[in-house]
Amino acid sequence: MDLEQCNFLAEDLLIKIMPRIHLDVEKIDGLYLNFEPRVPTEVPVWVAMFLKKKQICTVIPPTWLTVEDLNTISQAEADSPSFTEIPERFFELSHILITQCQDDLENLEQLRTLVKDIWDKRSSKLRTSTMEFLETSEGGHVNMNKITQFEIAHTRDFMVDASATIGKLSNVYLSIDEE
Amino acid sequence: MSIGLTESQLDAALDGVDISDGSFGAHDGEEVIDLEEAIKRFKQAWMNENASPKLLSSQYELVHAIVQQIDEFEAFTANYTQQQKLDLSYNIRRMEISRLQYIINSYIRTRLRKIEKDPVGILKEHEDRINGVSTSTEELLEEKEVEFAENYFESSRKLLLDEFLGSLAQCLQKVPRITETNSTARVFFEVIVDNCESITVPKLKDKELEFIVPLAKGDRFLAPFKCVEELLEKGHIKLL
Repeated sequence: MDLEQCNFLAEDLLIKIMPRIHLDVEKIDGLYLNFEPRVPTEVPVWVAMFLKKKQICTVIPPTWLTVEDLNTISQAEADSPSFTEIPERFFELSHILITQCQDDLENLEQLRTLVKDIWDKRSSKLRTSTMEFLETSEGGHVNMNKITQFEIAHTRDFMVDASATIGKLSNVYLSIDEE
Repeated sequence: MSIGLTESQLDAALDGVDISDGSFGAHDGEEVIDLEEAIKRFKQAWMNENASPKLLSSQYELVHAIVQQIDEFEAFTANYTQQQKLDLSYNIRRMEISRLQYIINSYIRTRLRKIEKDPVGILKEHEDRINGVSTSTEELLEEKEVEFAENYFESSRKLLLDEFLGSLAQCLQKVPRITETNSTARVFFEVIVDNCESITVPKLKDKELEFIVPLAKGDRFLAPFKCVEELLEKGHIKLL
């Protein structure tokens, strides 16, 4: 699962939009989209981006994409030595919205800086805990509870290779030990 | 915002393709699920297949079902005029189909790549499962994949024979089989059911000892693939 695939999956999430036209669509998967002007409806992100490009809707950003909420998250990350809870598709969605819905967001530059800040904090925590895990772990398994799929995709190659190599080395060690 | 046709005319035309009610015919013992559920399950199967080091059981019934719906839509709209093709709802449905096609192609490609690595081993595993010899009972390969594996191996064998094996002594004319020992491969996974069984992870430095890891719903872990293979087949966990 690489980063583009994470993005692809994030586009299936539902987001609120305010359409400017009438439209009724029955999608392949059975979801009905009924648009009335100025009535907020929920649609998948990819539909929202498609309509946005044609300039027939405005996007209502998710509740967590505000300066205050991002500040709270950033503060919580700084205070806690472990990972805090963040919305599942946080990085993918914020990237999509910041790059494609610039006129629907307030304080765009601040949002951008805050998201980058949160990313930096979490990825440095990820780096240090990875090194700790590889150096000292006894079991070859580790809990990754509050880490999003996006971050997992980022470290996947390295983590999987490194822990597989350590596994192989310890198998060699055990077989030498037996002799 | 339709051009040429009114909203209701277009809806009536599209309604002719009965897509939302796509329940799939049940043969004895099979579940009937609707298209939305099938697509959801297929996306998860795609994610699992991408993250797993081994080839997983075939989920081709889902693929066939989705492809059938796509074909119906394409057949129905094959004769659309240029104007009809500009219609917004038509375009949204086309985009959705492109997205589904991307997932289907990616799924097939990942599986074929895994088959190419060890066609003989996989064919054997497939046979074992059919004959009830293996631990798992789910079918590993779809018909066409079996053909592909056999043809691929046959072509590789012929190539090696023609190039140099043919000039070796008879007893040396064996096609080498690359058995990748990915027994230490690890995967990231998340638990999706309550009351999941705990997994046992062998300790690295001591062969006798093991960790027993309790699994609660929503937990995420990195662990050796071997330890969680069964849970994955049962659907208790999903790979990330």
